[in-house]
Amino acid sequence: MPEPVLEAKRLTRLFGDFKAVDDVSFTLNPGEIVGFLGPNGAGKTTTIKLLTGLLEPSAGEARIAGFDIQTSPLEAKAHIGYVPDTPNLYGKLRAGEYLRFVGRLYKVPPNLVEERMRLMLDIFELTDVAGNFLDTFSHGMQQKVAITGAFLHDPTIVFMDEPTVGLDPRSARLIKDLMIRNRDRGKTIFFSTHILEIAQSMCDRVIIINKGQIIADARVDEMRRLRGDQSLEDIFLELTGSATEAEEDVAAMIKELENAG
Amino acid sequence: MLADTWQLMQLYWKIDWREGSGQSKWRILATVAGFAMLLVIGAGAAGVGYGASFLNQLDPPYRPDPGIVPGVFLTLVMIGVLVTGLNQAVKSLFLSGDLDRLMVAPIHTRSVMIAKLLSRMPTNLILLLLIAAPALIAYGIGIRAGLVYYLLGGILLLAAPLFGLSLGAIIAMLLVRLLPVNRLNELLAAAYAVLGLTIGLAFQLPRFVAGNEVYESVTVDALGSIVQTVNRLPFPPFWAGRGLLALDQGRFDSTGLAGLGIFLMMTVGFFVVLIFTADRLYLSGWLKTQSAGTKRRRLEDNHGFIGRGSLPVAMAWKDWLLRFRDPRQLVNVLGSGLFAVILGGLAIFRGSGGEESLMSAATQGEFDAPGIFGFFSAGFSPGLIMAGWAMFVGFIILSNTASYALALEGGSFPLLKVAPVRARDVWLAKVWSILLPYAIIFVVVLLFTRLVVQYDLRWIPYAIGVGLVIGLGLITANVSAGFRFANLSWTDPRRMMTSSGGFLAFLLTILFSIPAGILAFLPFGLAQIWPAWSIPLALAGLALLIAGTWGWNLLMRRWAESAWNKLPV
Repeated sequence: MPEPVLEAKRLTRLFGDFKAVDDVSFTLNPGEIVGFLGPNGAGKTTTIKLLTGLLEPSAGEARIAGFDIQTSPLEAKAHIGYVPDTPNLYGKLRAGEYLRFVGRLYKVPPNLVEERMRLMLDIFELTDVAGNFLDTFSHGMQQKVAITGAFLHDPTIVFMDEPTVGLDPRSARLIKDLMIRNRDRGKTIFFSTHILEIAQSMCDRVIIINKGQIIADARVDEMRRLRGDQSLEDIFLELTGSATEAEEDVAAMIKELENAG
Repeated sequence: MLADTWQLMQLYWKIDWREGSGQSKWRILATVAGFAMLLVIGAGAAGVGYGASFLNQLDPPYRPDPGIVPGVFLTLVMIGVLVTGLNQAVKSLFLSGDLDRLMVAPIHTRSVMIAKLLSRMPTNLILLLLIAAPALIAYGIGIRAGLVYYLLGGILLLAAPLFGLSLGAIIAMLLVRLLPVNRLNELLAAAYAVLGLTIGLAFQLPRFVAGNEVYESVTVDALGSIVQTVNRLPFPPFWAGRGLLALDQGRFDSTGLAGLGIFLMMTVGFFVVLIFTADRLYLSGWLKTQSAGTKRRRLEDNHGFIGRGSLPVAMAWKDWLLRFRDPRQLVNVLGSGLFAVILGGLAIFRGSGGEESLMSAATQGEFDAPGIFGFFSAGFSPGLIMAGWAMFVGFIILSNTASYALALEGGSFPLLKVAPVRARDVWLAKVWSILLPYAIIFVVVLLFTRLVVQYDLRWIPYAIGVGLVIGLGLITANVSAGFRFANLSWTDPRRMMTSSGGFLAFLLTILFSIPAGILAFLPFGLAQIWPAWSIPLALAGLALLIAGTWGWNLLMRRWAESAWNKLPV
């Protein structure tokens, strides 16, 4: 059994009296794509922020490649790539400058930065605009630059918060391929998404969080087999208790529309 | 259409009210203090208004037309609304977050435009009326005006902002056709900062440039012709002012009715024209902002310093690129520097180095004192004054830049926080990125002063050493305060730090400068008494200063590090 890339042990985060993340524990192994699912406000982004060292936990610990993110942050962070839910990039830097700066932060040799950056910008069809300021880029283009930056230092584990939001189908497909190829190279991808079709088709494993607590953690095929070959969407809705609720709400809305019409 | 407009306006007012009412106690206190200050300004304006009524007692050619004074008040209201309204028009008409939804909703563009423009007006109007209304009322009291003056004056004051608002909106709509809207917003913010500085300097410069006698004679000589020129200006607010007084005196003639009528018709008419014609201009302008493209630039081969060298070099390069490329940031840096250089320089060389200047007094040896008093007289030696000035210039230029150093990261702060870099590394990089330009400015200004003022060159190495060490202490204080009080979600570059942070940065500056200044001055003063011990005294003073600054920096760095994890991400 290989050493886990990530170990989350009893992670808890309080905001005042509110428990955003409640006693969360799981491990991630090398060479797997793990989808992190949950309804809005379930604690996905907070958990990712705890795992990447952006937030301090109220209790518990997280280890990346054997290093505690709180006590050995530099060693742990050197293994991390992170794509936030909103790509807040320096608006007045050119894409090339931004990526070179990221390369410097992660101590990637300049020639390697150039090589990887050019390759990825080319794949994302951004080479022709890479000399423009980032504040002239669309959301999708900025997202692609942020993703390029996250993979620039060839991290052991990449955290992606809603990575395909705002991307055109071709770019979304490219990102999926990028994730799969990195998985095949033994890297770990941990990403949150609301698009359950993507999770079902791409993930080796899914972790479902609801109200700050992990309610499911299993391989996708295993989970589906145990639930009578249901789709991941149905399983998710059942587990989060929103299936019947959603059906009833939609039925009520349609009825109201018909009455009004 | 009217119902949609009214509904939107109510919505915006509700949002504004909630934003204003749900604030912290400090914010409420600051609002109350701001309101109190406005009342003081209003009282000052009333004083000006009442004082202006005495102009009518002057003899020709110094006596202005009585209607000119209310005309000037109206003009100021119009200009005030135009200046603030231009930026507001750009923001509300083209940069609001809700425009996408509104433009696809079945609402007329005209409703959106009017609601956006008028919903922001009450705040401006209240501010301007708090200042202009007391002036107009006090002037009325001064000239013993009747009821008609106050009634019509009130109507004119309410109408005047419409003119500025309409004009501001039309200019904004035309400008977005020429420039990308975000760029326009940045340029307007920069232009306002420059305008503020210019006004500040305009009030200060005459005091320094001209001696009092010259100033008075110029003023009195020019006054007559200025008054006559103003009286003849074909300016609608002046016609309105004349009309106001004429109607108050019961003169329903061409001056009274036509003067007031033309102004009101122009103002209201302009707004009506805006409503009925400009919605197309607005819609096409907004659509243009949605499809605005920029020239495509390929990935550049030049690496610059950003991807090479140490972290401080990369970060400093990145930070200065961000500052120089954003006109708002650039004005922040250059504007305060210009202010410092001009005011500081003129204070020292006041009256072109005339009798009133500190420099003149020092070089004439007025402060020479025997025995132990020589210690204090050293404070007025030209070398020390010049070193102090050079330090002041360097620090004032970069103090805001230092305080905003971390906030410059803005929404990109998580990039630094997830990267394998320590808070200490970032702090150090930020300090170096400010210290280096400070050192250059300080040394260049100090050496430049030597060309203008002759002082003993032997003190230059000491002055440079002390200036750099004190500069370091001041910069670390400001950078650390910026770490603790950074506003990472800023959109206005003047609000990159919380107001309490700005106050604390100022306190820390004082807290460090006083003991550091005393330590720097001590060997200089003592050397006046014991010249033979000059060099050992200088070395001892410098060593003490370095030790003290080292301790201070340690304290500041730890404070900044402790703030790192508390910053919102």
